[in-house]
Parts: sequence; structure tokens; C-alpha cells
Amino acid sequence: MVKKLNYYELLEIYPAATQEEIDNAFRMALYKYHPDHNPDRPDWAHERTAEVVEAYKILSDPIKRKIYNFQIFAHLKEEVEERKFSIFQMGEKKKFNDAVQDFKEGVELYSTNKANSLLKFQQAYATYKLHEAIYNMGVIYASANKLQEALHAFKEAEKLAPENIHYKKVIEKFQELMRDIDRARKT
Amino acid sequence: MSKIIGIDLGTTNSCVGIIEAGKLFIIPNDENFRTTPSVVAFTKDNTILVGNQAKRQQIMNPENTIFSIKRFMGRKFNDKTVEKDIKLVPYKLVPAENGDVRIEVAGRIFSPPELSAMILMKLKKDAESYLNEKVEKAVITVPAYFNDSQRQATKDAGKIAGLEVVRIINEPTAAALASGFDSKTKMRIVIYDLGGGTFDVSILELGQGIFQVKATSGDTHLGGDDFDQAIIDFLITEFLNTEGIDLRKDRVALQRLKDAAEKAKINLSTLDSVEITLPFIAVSKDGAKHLKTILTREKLEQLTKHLAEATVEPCEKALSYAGLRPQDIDEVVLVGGQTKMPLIRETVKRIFKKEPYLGVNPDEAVAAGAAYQASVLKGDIRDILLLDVTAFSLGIKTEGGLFSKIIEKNSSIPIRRSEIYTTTKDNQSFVRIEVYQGEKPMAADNKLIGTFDLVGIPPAKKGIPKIEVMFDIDANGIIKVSAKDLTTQKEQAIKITPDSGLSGSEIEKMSTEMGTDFAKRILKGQKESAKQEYQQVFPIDDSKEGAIGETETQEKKKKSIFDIFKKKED
Repeated sequence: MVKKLNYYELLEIYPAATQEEIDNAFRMALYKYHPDHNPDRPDWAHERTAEVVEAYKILSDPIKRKIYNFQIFAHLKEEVEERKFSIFQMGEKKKFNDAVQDFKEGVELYSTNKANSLLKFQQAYATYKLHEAIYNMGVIYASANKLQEALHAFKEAEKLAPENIHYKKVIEKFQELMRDIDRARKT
Repeated sequence: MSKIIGIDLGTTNSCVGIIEAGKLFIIPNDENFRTTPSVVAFTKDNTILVGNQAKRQQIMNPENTIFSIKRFMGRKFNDKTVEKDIKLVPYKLVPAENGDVRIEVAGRIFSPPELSAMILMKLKKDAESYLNEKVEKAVITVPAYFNDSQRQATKDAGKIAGLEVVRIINEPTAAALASGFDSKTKMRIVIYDLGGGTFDVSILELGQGIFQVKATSGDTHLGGDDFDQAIIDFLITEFLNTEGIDLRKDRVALQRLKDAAEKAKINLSTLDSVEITLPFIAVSKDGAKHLKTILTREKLEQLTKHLAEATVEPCEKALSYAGLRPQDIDEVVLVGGQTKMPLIRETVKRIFKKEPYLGVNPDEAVAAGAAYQASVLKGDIRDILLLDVTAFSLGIKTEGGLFSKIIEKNSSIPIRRSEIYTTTKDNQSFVRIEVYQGEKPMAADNKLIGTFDLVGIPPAKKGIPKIEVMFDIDANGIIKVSAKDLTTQKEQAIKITPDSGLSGSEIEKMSTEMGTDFAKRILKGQKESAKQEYQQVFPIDDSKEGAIGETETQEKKKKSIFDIFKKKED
């Protein structure tokens, strides 16, 4: 089975994209995939456009976007372990797992008890800050071998939390790694 | 690549457009009018008249003249709206085997798509003679509030007429394409479309060439015809009070009243009062009776105020779905002939708190938009894209007859949603799914679109099989269902029993018949009326006394009819 792209990958944007960037990316993706512009492969175009529309619906709604971010981070967690890419995880594991747990409960409660659900989300966010989320996106990209994107995400995280030495270290290490890869390619 | 025309297949009038070398052309019909009445008539000598010719003889031949056929597209005979409409049309409606509406005329039963196809054939032919080449493809517009079966019926009509309908688009969205706003800059517009039979309101966001519909709402059963009817009812009541004669039973009188009402309504958009005179409208013991009355704009507004008010709620709903306030809207565009009425303009101004934009031609904007979309599909225009929404929620019937929504209304289309189904009994070999469209909590209160049977499920314990059912709404707003067995990853067979509409073989048969027999009869009708008109101008037999005088009066009559059309055109 073909692996599904995540919504950020589909719209070709960074996970830290602003609403305006998402709007623009959505429109560009429509031009690329919409059936009107792909008359020779209507089924593919329909399928892709339906995905793009869904991606935009989620990413342009702040609450839905947060839920989605958590879902893909949770997914990333599994993938990372699979690929033994723990180098970037450091000691965050328990914190991350707790937040994911809170978040899952929040999602489950969302349709039946909105107040409790929001409380759960807040708890999750208390332990899981935006820069951490972006940092984790960087890990996804790194694990998917998208090094430039990963570096960008790490730098975004560092911009948001300049006091975090860990991010600085990761960026350093990562740039080193990229240089190594470059050198390896050349020789 | 062959040319694609854009067709506004309206309740009362239709219009055709095309983009050639980047320029918009509204294609005139064979009588050089830019719109063609959506009227089909069957005459005694076995010919079929379409358009102006059909409309002209409507008073003499009301039972065999079909108008407003769009109101019956994709509808069931027992629909509430059909029950109401049946009293308003002079032709005969009958139920089909599957409960759909059929029309009995000239000793034959027709489906609404067949009669629409006759109008489409005429539009196609006029376009062919204008463009001097064959036309086989079209974009056709429908009201945003048309449901799946109504859209399907419109597509079928195209097929029967020998047109490949490359896209169905919503009328208000088409009008937005033709509004001429610079789509590159971000803005929000409202399209208020009050046509002959339907009311649609859509809110769109424009930016980078993308016309994204945010929300749509409306009423499939509110339009200019209802305004005419209000005047007719008033005239009938007045006549009953003064003369004691009920005109309702006289079909010819009703037709004359309708013509007079429409004309009075149009004139009252610019005048303060009009005189309605209908001599010899009825006969009683005391002799012939005439209807003569004065209708003021004030009285008209009083008679139709409730109709104008009925558009307020859909507008407010659309705003609330889009999450916008009236002050967030940059422009309000008026489309449809009925929006020429001052009362409507005032109502719009009140709802959206701004002067409506008058830069589009309300009679031609929809056809123009369809032409732009045709050009996009042809690949000539690359910097415009429409992203519409579905006007209805889609869902299935679950336990206890509840309606479980799968796709919410006002979702952008194309859209795909999937649900996983399983069995409730051991070795169950099929699962039945009933798909509904609508907003009511009980499934039975919504519109049944079709029944899907998942068949050939391999034997297994209950709850083990996992069948993913995919619900797609394509860019035409038409629903497709497919299924996959998740355990085997094989496409799961489904048997679809649509609740309404024509089958493929029926359409094929109708299409063949339309292309041969009916095409000949329509051609015959056209030739004969052309001959008649020729004779009116150059009477062949001038030896007969009175022939010239006769011709003169007919000429005058013809002129006055032409004047009505010209007024409508302005």
C-alpha cells in the first residue's frame, strides 16, 4: 500500500506554517491536483483534491490542527522507535507519552463532553509546548530523510525557545551530520 | 479539441455562452434573442416547437405546452412541492413506476429529462449554426440547492440530447465567475440569485484566481413564478368578487392571466402603476366579461412581501455557516430576472447592509460563468478554479431509523469519506446500506438517494469482516459509492438501487429516439413556423380578400410580442 502523506507534506509546508502560508499552499495544491486541471486522470485528481480539501479543513481550524498535530506526533513516536532514531528524543519520552495520553482522552471526550475535553487538551499543552511540537516535527522530517525541512523545523523551535540549549546542540549536531552526508555524496 | 458551450438551463429562460479567443460571446438563438424560453410545445400536426415559437402559441394550446419543466426534474410524484405545482400547470402530470414525475402530453408519457433534452437540443442546434461547427460538449448549470437526483436528471437530459455534460456547476457559483471581480485580490462576495423558479444564495471567498464557496443556502421552490402567481391569485379573487366567476377552471384564461401578470410585474419595476386589461376573459349569461384593473407598485409589494421576506432566512443561514457578519462582505451581486424588482433590492440592502452591485447582467451572468468554466475544462484558462460546496449533508440510516451524517453540508467538494462496516450475524453474506441526503435527524424525513448492497462477503464470524465503504461527492456534486474488503484488500461488489432517475438503457433508448424521430419533428416545427412567418410578411396567396388585412394584424401582434421580449432583455 502507498504510504499516505501527512497534511503538511501534502500541502508542501512546514509544520510551523502561518495561516496565510497554509491558505497560499492550499490554493497552489488545488491548481496542481484539481480535476479541472487534470482531465486525463480524473480519479487520481479527485482523490488528491479530496485529500487537499480535507488537509485544509483541518489545518485552517486552530483546534483541529492541534489535535491533528498530536496525532501525527504520536504516530511519529512509533516510527522513530522503529527506525531507532532515538538520538533526537533525549529525555522527553515520558513527558511526551503523558501528553499524548491526555490528548487522546481529550479527543475521545470531544464529542460528548466539550468542557472536560478542553481541560484535557490544556493539560496536554501544559506539558507539551509549541516549540516542542515543532521540534518533534523536525524529528519526523529527519526520520523521513528530509534533512533541509528538519533543519528548518529545529531552527523554528530554537527561535521560539532560545534558552533551550538542547535545541542548539541538536542543530549543531544536525548540521554536522548534513555536512558529513554531503561529503560522503561527493566522494 | 472540440468546443464546449456553457448552458444556463433555466426554469423560464435558458441562455448559452462560449469563450472564443479569450472573449465571452452569448450565443443568440435562431430569432436573434440572447435568451430562449424554456418551453416545449406539441402541436396537432405532430410537430414539436421549442423556445419562442412554443411560447407564442402557449395561450392557444395550454395543455400541450410544457413550461417550468425544471421544477419536476428529479422529483417524486408525491413530493409536497409537486402536489402544489400540479395545480399551477395546465399540462398533465402522472407518476412513473418508481414514483418519479412523468408528463403526459400529446398521447405519450415523457420524463422531465426528455423534455429538458428537447430544449437542450434546440440550444445545441442554435449554437452549432452560430459557431458553424458541431457542438458535442457542454457545461450545464443547476441551482446550488439541487440534490443528487436533480443533478443526475440534468446530466441525463444532456445525454438524451446528444451532449456530453462535462461538468454540472452551481448557478450562483457560475455567476460569481462572470462577476468580473479581480479574483487575484482577496475579497468576499455574496451571490443572491432569484430566478424564475429557484432561490440560491452563496458566499464566496476570492483569492489567487480561486473562487471558493464558503456556504450556500436557498429554496428550490421560490422564484419569479411565485411572484406572478401572487398577482394571478389577486386578479382571480378580484374577478370572483366583482363578477362572481371563478377563472381558475379556465385554462386559457389562466394562461392569459399569467402572461398579463408577468408583464405587469416587469413594468412595475420601472413604473408606479400599470393597467391590466384582459378583454373577453370569461363569458356569463349576461355576455362577455372583461377584466380591467389597475395595479400599483405598492399593491404588488404588499402582495409579494412574504416572498421577498422568504429570502431573508437563507441569507442569514449562509452567513452563519460561513461564520461571517454582513460587514465582512465586500460585494453583493444580484442574479436572476426577479432581482430587477425594487422590493428585492431593498430587501437585499437590508440583509447585507450595503448597496447591491449592479455590474452583472442578471439574465446572462450564469451562462457566462458556465462558459468560463467550459474554457477552464478545455484548458484554455489556467488561472481560474472553482471550489464549490455540497448544499446537503450525506449520511446513512442507522439503528432505530436515525440519520447518521457522513459528510456535513457546506463541505468543499470534491470530498471523500469512508466508513467501516461489518456483519451482525455469523456467515452473513451481505450488508444493506441506505444512503440519504438531508438535515433531519430521522433518516425517513430525508431524501433517499439509493440503497447499496454489499454482496459476496466471504463467510466469517459476526463482526470479523471489515468493509470500507467510500462516499465520494465529485466536482459535479454527484454522489458515488464504492467499497473495499479491508481483510482481502479487494474491491467489494456493491449493488446499487437508485431511488429515482432513469436507467442507462432507458437513457440510451430515449437518446436514440430523440436523435431520430423527435429531432425530425422539432426540425419540422422550425421549418413550418419559418414558413408561416415568411408568409406573414410576403403573403403567397394575395387573391383572397382580407389576406392583407389579416397579415397586418398578425404583423402587429408579432411586433407587440417582440416588444415584450425586448423589454425583458433590457
